[in-house]
Amino acid sequence: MPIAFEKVNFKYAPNTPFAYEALKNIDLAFEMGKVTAIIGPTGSGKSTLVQHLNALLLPSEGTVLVLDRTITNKHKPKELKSLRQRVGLVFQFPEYQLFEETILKDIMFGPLNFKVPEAQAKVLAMNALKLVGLDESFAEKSPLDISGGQKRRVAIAGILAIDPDVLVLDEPTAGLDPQGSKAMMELFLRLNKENGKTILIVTHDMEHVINYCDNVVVMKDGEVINHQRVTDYFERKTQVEDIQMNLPQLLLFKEALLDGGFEFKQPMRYLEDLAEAISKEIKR
Amino acid sequence: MNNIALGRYIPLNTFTHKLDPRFKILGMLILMVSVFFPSGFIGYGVIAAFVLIALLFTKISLKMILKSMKPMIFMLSFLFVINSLVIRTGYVLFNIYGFTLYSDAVFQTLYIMVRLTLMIVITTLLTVSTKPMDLTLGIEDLLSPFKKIGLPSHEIAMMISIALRFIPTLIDETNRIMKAQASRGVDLKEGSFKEKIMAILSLIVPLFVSSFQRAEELADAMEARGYVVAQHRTRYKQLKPTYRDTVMMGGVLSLLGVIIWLSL
Amino acid sequence: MNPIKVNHLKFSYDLETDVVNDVSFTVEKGSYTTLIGHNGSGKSTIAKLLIGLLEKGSGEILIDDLELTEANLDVIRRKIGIVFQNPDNQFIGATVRDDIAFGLENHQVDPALMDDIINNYAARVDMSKYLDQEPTRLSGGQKQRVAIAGVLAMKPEILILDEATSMLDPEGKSEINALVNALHKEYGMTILSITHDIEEVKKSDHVLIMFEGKIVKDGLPSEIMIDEKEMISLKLDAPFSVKLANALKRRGIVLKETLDTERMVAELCLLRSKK
Repeated sequence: MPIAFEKVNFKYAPNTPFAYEALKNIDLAFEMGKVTAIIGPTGSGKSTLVQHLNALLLPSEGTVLVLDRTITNKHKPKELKSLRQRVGLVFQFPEYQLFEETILKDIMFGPLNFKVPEAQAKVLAMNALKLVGLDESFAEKSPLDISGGQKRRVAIAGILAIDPDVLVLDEPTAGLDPQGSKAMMELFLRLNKENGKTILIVTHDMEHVINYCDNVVVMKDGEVINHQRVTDYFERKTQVEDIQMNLPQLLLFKEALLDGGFEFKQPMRYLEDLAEAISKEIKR
Repeated sequence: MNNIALGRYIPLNTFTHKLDPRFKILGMLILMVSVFFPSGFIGYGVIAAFVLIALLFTKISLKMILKSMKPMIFMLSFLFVINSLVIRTGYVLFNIYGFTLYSDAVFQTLYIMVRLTLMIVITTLLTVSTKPMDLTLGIEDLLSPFKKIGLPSHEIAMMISIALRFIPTLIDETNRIMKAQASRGVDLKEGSFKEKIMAILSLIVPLFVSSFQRAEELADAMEARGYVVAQHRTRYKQLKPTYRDTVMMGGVLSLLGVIIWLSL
Repeated sequence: MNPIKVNHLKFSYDLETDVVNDVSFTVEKGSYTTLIGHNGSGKSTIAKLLIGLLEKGSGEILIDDLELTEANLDVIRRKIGIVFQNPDNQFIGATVRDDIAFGLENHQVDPALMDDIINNYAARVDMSKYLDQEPTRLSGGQKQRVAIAGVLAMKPEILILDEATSMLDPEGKSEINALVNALHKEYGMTILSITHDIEEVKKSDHVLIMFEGKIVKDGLPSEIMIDEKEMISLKLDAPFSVKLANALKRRGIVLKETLDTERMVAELCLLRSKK
């Protein structure tokens, strides 16, 4: 069952002087069961794209296929709500969606909205809490009394408790410290590897893309200009330089060594790969 | 976004736009007062003529005004129905199936309609031609004589301008929270009463929490840049009346004179 | 004379746990100092204490050898400018022009002089084209540039950046970093930057590391940032170059330089050509 865009256009405020074409002729199919990064400069249409995935926005033209549903401008999927149960969307700074008295109640809010019986919702919520790395003692605390990083975990748990097949995250590590964002990325990787969730991450952080993602979708001015495996994408810096993003440190270092006479043949992704390649070259 | 909201500032460079906001506010108040004088339909005709000229000077089309007044049609028809049932004075206009429509019911409705329309158009004239910030500056200056009796006119103006500055930010924030909660299955249209209450809470509580945080950060930023409540500040934007203001005030005051004369 | 000197500073929000616990440090004149630490380590609290937005528990804060007290708060705030994290929540004016004017109005500058000052600093941060724009139509990076112009217009000697780039996209981040570096060089401004950006720390003159309310490291980046294990134990991350050097060390390749990427590359290329 795919997640795909077929000839999708999207216009904000159509037929007004403010009309703005945010997505242009998007043809795109995400690989299921993988972690895909969606990157591109601010205003390139990344957030607009992901909001189509659970029908928060409907395409102006074209079709979006999400699992077994078809979303077009004319016929919305019959039950938007049940679609949202299968595609969980986590917005930027999700800690601002917490509102219940206790963390447990807040996490249960989603499942209850989807008519899950209370007892089962509680089980789902406790599981989700564990998944995001918080222990049971948090359940009865107020979501307003914990640290910023913990709040974000609770907010993500609130989506995980709905048990979606696909998890879409819009800049999930914005504002976290290095260790906090590392832990967050490791959480998504685990959800992918152990729980089989398909994960889509909108991000500005190229280090996260190279270290944690399988595929990368590159957007620019409302179009998808690139979609390939992360290892291929970071093969040379030229195609990464098209968009105003920082190159990952590994690529910078590798390029500098290539300019200095090193010859690397094998693709590399992690720091250890580079260290191994360097040592081979030197000891050769 | 489809039709331009009534009263929203339209950036143009007309006679009215160039008026000093203080005199514009005063002029508007005088026009409002004249609407309240019982000057009869001739009087309203005079005011309407004046307002039409003002519209011309502000380069606002009558069409736009009429279009934006559409929502009022429902209210006025409702008023007309009520009036026809309640008012039983004047002469009989017609009588069908035992229902009698009296002339006063029609006149009364027309009367209210004309007054209401005039007042809305007058206010629109002001807000369409004045930046919200300039409006607050005008209000601040007009209130400043009341400082002596303890009215913090500068602080009031500062509050209004900050509120204006943050309205778009809060609208964005509301949209974002609504979408975030929709992703958690919140449905504002369907569901039981209890579910709707929860849906609204899930919107309002986060909005409050983030607004308070914003307010705190904003207060810090203001203080760090040397803002101290009730301490004297200079003002960057100085208001200067021009010959235009004299012309406008002359016109408005003569109109008031005519209206008073007509009501005697 | 040191622009910032802090002695045995303590602060607590709830009178129980010290968010800032016996902190002492010095920022030297004209230096670019970075202050790093995990979320909740007390970094931002330090910034707020330095400009008197929070009142210290005990200890001493000296700005240009002048002790920060209630009485001279006004004088001290004129010496320090601060740019906060969230670009939205520090934009006060209705337009760029009005926002830069805000601080000038507070300092009772003659309105007749304001236009020149505003134009001058807007040009300095490359925002002249946007003077009459409203904040909603500006990017995060542009808003932070306006914030910097607003600060510069008040001619402070010290600039504090409180995670000023953490909410920006890569483009905005590099804009602000370049601007701050230029200001540091041109005006000789003393800069104290609270940051998570390891690359920024590498380039700074001096680094302070906070951990659970205390300053645990204080020195040159080239001395402090090279200990990968220690950085991790302080809930921070080591620079990529250091991690790579360690990975190479495990493979028997020991480098003299482990922080400066260019020199590392040169060293490696030399090693390779020797073979």
